[in-house]
Amino acid sequence: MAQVIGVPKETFPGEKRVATVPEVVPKLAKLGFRVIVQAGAGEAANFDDEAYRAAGAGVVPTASELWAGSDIVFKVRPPTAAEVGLMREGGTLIGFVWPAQNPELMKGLAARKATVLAIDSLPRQLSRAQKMDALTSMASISGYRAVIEAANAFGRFFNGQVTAAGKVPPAKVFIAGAGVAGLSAIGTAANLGAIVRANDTRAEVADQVVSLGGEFVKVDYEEEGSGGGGYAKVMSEGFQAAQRAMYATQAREADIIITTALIPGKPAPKLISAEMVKSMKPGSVIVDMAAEQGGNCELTEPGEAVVRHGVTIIGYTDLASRLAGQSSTLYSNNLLRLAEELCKAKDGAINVNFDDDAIRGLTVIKEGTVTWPPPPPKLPAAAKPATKAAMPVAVEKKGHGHGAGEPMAVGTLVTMFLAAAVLFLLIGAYAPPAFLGHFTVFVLACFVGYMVVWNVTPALHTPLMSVTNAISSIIIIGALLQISSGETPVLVMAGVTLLITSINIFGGFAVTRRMLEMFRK
Amino acid sequence: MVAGLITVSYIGAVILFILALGGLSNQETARRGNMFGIAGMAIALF
Repeated sequence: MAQVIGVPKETFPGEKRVATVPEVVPKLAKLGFRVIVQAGAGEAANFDDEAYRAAGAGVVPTASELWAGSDIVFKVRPPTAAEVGLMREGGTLIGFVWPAQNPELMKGLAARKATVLAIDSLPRQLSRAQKMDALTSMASISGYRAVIEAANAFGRFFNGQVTAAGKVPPAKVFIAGAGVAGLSAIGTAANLGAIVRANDTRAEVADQVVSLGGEFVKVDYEEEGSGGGGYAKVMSEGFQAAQRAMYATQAREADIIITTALIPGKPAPKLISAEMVKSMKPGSVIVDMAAEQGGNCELTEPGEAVVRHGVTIIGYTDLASRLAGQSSTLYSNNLLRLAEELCKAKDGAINVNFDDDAIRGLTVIKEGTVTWPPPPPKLPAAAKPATKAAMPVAVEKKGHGHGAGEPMAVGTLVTMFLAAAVLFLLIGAYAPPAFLGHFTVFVLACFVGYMVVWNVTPALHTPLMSVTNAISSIIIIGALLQISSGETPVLVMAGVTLLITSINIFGGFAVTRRMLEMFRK
Repeated sequence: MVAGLITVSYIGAVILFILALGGLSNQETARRGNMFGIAGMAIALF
């Protein structure tokens, strides 16, 4: 029995996204579903009705017909009370619902005996759930858009240049919060050539910030900022005071500040005070991505861009919707992946299976019974030691340098040199001369190898493994030398070695070549 | 004389191997590096 998936036009003012795009319609049909869309649903995202029809979806003229004709409704924004009224009794709704913030809506949906899957309640820690994570896909788009809006409002270049008409300084961008949106913003701003600094209460994201081209700025206070589930938590007063001091210093220097700090279920933390805004240079820009949850800046007006004390404060709440085509496509893919999990039998009927952790977390109402919040998913054991490991990471590391460039503390260095000197003295005095020749080569080889291997960029570590595999098969020379020996066991071993090392050499280089070809720009 | 040539060719092979690994520091030079490695191995064997 093929169920019907219906996609209405979003009624939220200014919402341009649509829950499914023509590209995804045939894939839903392959799972056995029939897809109908409301006329004009994708118009604001540049997907016209003809494109949907060509992809195999039916087009229905009015909202009421769509809601009445659908077994499952895919939506972007939470439905209004009126839309809940249009919903079929016992129907299914999949979309952003925000159960914690919308108790009235939950009651209304429960009364309709609906089954509701809230895509924002996905347990994001499950790696299997990443393909369904719409919060991540929307946040990365919003982070990108925030930088574009900032660049639009900012009066200078992002990248520094030396031109005949004078030197152009690069823009200094400070990003508060290094979650998905923050990291996306860091990457975009760094790609545009700005000097990027970022901060987050969670110490473990420092590496991620650096890998995208930003500098991680620490708060002068020891406290663990992870609230579980990968989210931040409300920090203590002491930390908040130290944090305010750091933000004040950064605000004075930054040209652009992008704030992304959110705590699930609570109002957004106020990070930028009116005083800090006053201290910023005129012409600076603040993009407050937390505007919908109250804003990280005291002077934010949600939904608008205002100018206060010469600083443009952008509080748009529809950043993802501004890239409607891209967001709709990614969101549709998230929902498609969810549909695949719900309909493993590909028979056009969904099965809300509570044994599946992801589906259990997503389902907030099942046939009229509220099933939210779900029991916490079994955390992998790595989570607990990871939080402990984060603590020593936050403390300034002394002497734990790995890789070229991390200087070691003087004390450790001196001790090491003394120990090496003693060792060398002993070797020099007592070893046979032949050994010293080989020892020289060995020591040189170690140093050269260390330097060369640590210079390899992380992206190329996999080809590194296969090419060193090939090169290490130089021991084939040993086998070649022994192949002319008289004794049978030696011959056999040499023969086997020859076979294995040749495979290694040929295969290693061939595989490396294949891998490197994939890196073609 | 042949012995000297053999030693020199081993040195050549070593240089090529090191260049092969060094080439991996950069995506552009990586494929060239792989070629160096193959050349080095060929020289070492012959």
